Amino acid sequence: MLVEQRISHIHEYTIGAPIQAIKSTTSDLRARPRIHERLIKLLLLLCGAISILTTIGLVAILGQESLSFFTRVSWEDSNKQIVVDLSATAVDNILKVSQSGAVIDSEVIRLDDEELRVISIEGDTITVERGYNNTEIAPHRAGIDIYTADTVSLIEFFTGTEWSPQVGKFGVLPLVNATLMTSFIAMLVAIPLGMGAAIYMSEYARPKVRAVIKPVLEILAGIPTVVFGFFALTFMTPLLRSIFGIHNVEIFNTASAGIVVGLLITPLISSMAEDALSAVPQSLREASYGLGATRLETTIKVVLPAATSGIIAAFIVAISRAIGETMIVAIAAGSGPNFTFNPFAAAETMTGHIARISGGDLSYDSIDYNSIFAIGMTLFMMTFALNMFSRRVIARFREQY
Amino acid sequence: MSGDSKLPGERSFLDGLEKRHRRGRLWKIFFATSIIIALLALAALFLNVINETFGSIAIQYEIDPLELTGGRPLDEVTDEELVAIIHQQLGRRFLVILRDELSVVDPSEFTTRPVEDVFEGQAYPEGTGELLINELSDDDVQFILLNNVSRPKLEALLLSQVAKEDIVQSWPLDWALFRFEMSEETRQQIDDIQAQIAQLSSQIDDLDRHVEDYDQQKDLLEAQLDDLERALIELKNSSVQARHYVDFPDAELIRYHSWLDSVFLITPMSSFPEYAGIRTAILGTVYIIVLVLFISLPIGVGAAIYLEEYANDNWFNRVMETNIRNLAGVPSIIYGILGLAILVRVFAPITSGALFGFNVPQQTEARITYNIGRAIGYDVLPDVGYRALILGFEREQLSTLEVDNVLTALSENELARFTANMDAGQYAAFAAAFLNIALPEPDENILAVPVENQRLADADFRRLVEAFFSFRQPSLIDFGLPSQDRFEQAVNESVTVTQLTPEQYNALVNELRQYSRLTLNGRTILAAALTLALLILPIIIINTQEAIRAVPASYREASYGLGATQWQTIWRTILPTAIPGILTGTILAISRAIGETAPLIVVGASTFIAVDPDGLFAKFTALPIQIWQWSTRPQAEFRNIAAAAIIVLLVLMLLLNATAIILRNRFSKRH
Repeated sequence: MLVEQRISHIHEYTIGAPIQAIKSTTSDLRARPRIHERLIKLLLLLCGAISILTTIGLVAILGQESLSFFTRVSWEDSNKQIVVDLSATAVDNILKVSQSGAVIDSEVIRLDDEELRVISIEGDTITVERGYNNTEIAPHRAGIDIYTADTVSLIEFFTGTEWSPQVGKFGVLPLVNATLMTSFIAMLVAIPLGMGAAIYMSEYARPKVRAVIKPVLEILAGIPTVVFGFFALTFMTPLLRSIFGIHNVEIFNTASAGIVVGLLITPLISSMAEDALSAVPQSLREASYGLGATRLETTIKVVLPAATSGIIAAFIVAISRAIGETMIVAIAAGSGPNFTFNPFAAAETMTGHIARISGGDLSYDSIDYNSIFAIGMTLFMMTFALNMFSRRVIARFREQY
Repeated sequence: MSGDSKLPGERSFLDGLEKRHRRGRLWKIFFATSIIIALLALAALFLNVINETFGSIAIQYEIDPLELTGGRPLDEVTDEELVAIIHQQLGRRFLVILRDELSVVDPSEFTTRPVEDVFEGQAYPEGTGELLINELSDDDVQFILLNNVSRPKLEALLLSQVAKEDIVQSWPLDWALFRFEMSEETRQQIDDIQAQIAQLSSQIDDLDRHVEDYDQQKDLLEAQLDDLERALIELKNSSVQARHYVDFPDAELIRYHSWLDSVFLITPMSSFPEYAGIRTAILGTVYIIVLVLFISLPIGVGAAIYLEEYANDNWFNRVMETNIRNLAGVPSIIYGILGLAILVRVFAPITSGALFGFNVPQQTEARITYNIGRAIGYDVLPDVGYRALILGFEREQLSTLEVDNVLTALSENELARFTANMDAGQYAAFAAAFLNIALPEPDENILAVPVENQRLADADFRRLVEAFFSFRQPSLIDFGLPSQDRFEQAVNESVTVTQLTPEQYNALVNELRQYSRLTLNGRTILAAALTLALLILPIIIINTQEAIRAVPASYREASYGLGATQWQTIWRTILPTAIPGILTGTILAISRAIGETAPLIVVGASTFIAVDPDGLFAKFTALPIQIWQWSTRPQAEFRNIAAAAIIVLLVLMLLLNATAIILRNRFSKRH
């Protein structure tokens, strides 16, 4: 009601009776309540809040699905059998098990459809709590297999060197290793190229030359990464194979992918580093020249140190981009996790794995579906930490001048 | 600088100075070189794409076109004769052409609706309007094709459907330009070597007949043979003509062939590179981009206005600001995961359109049931194979050309043709689906595929499945096989079921019904567009903020001074001034979205969509997805069409960027 009144009030002022409106504004100069202005503000706030919702959604989804990845129970046949029948009463809670088979080390075991919680194990006698997790207590005959529960532990996830979810191997290291390899190779290419280009443009190039080169480098940055992937597979890989021998270099390899990722992030480094170099006050350079330093000496000993934080920030952003890059590695680095340090061997990165796994019609209840979130979480943490770090560094560098 | 004893004027100082300058020059060269390398890389990238898009090809016909026309060149054959030849050669499949090329009704209604509906707006013989297609005479169906299809199209149909042209080899542009001709000398050498090889082989065969005594001599000859064969391989790889001469002497050689042509742009997908086009991919990309623009532009500009004009310096707004900066650095594939979990899965009723009555299960179900009926109707297909086939070739994922190819593919030749274009993974899947058909050996990547018509030993089956899944995913998508479990199930049962009883049929339909529910998810254009919109939102916000910040404070003050409210100031003063900057930023963000591939893969773009997307809730594919899928294929021809698609993508981006520049200049002039 109140809102309606106010609106009609405004309506009256602005359209209904102009003369009256003028009269009343001259008599009352206080700010009028402007309901639609507030509504607009609220609407715009909502637009902004979508970004927050996105982040919350990201963290929640990654967290929740990773959690279900780590708590997901898979049953494994221990090849041990019970040797005495069990009745369907809760008090019949002592299992006699056979000698053969794997050691029972999980907290929950399963006989047919009934789950049992292990209370204590003494040799071949296991005391259990029957009907665990609200499963139905049922009679079991001697000779049936005992299934043990297996979950993915964080330690296994971060230290295991084999990734094949179908057989219960969940070590993310091969994927992380391949990601770090491609990123490292990319940085080996991009740091010298990007820094060289940045220094040339900021310290040596005439303005006209710079006006041409800069946009061209930006074109390089604007090309879709899938095109770079094509380039890696059809140009860089044959090139590497002709240089290092066709038998030494596999068709899919991390070196080729890494080099091309390096080319992709070169413009990023050169443009951010050039900004940092250009932000160094001219007076520092002039002072250096005044002391008799050559241009190179000025650049290396005066300008670069002064721009360090900006340059480091550029490197960090570039690393984070290289880690998150997907298409180049999905096309050129190979498919199939492989724990190797050989740059000429095929190895799948975290991003490449996610792309390959989700490329099919992934069913929601599969271990693959959950695993892409665990990998995605790892990836997100890595890039998020790097981005935060670079923003800190940039903030420091801004304070300097 | 180095050492305090050196003073200006001293000899050692001058020497040192010279050295320092020399070092300076060297490093300058290094700095300049890094720019040159970056530019060279860019040039190499473009040249590489162009090199793969154009080049030579060798075309082989299964049936020589001259044979079909009775020895006359194609130009001299009249339209009527062409149609008659096509009809005569294709038999009942002639109707399939009419259905695919001319019918305006849903394929399932092609045989059940009268001709006047099926060919509405097109020419059909008078008096046949009320009839069904199956009731027409041969002359009538020929009349329909003859009067509705252009001459070039008729020729194309003859070559592709009847003569079955097949590109057996392709070479990139640099070969066409510089390594095309074979010298007379090379030809002589090749003839010579081939003659020697033939002679040696026959000698070896002779020796084989009198085994023991001649082992030594045989080894000697075989060593010679190896040398010759190596020499032959080297020679035939020296030029296009040499390869053509040795390997495909019957194939037609075309020196300059462009993989990028108008047909490529307007044809839908196919698993044969020579028939594949990017029509559905372009449409998918356009749909997505337009949607992304409508979603992200208002929200992005709104958020930027809030942050720049309204937000006080409190913790919430600071968090929002930092958050947007951080989101801009999140890898795009993470957005894909977000889209998959939330938009595709949680909001499936909305993104799949089921909430609004689109894509409801019954429709999908009907389509699948129709497929089953079709498959059974063609009882040429062995029952053991068709179950896997149906699971694999869902109607919308495969052009009818290919379905028909498979369905009529009982002759070995047909099968050979179909499998020749597969990679090993597809071959394995195909072999698994048709285990009781004797499969010819594939060109390369030979897989040990058991072909007996019996249940596979478990170990063999596992090996087959593993082999299949060790190949790259695209082949899996091509076959529309949803997951490993279902694949195993399908194959397992296909192998054991030899004859389908009505009960089994019903069970099958029921299961497919389940399957269609499973596939009823939000993997649609809408979900993809929303995901990409979220992805570019931070970029748009940041760009718009910069543009708004660049509006001089005096404009604002002048507006307030005239009594405008805050919103009036924003709407009438700030936005019009900032619009060039906003537009440029937005278009740059959009051109980033066009090229994004990873999020689309994760939210479930299909790589094989042969029908045009028909709205927000259609399954889709997009240009970058096609490029990705084709570039990972082992055959060179797919690489050629990937390169052609890249050119289209780059041109599209170029157009967008040009629009950005034009718009910016226009608006800048006005203000």
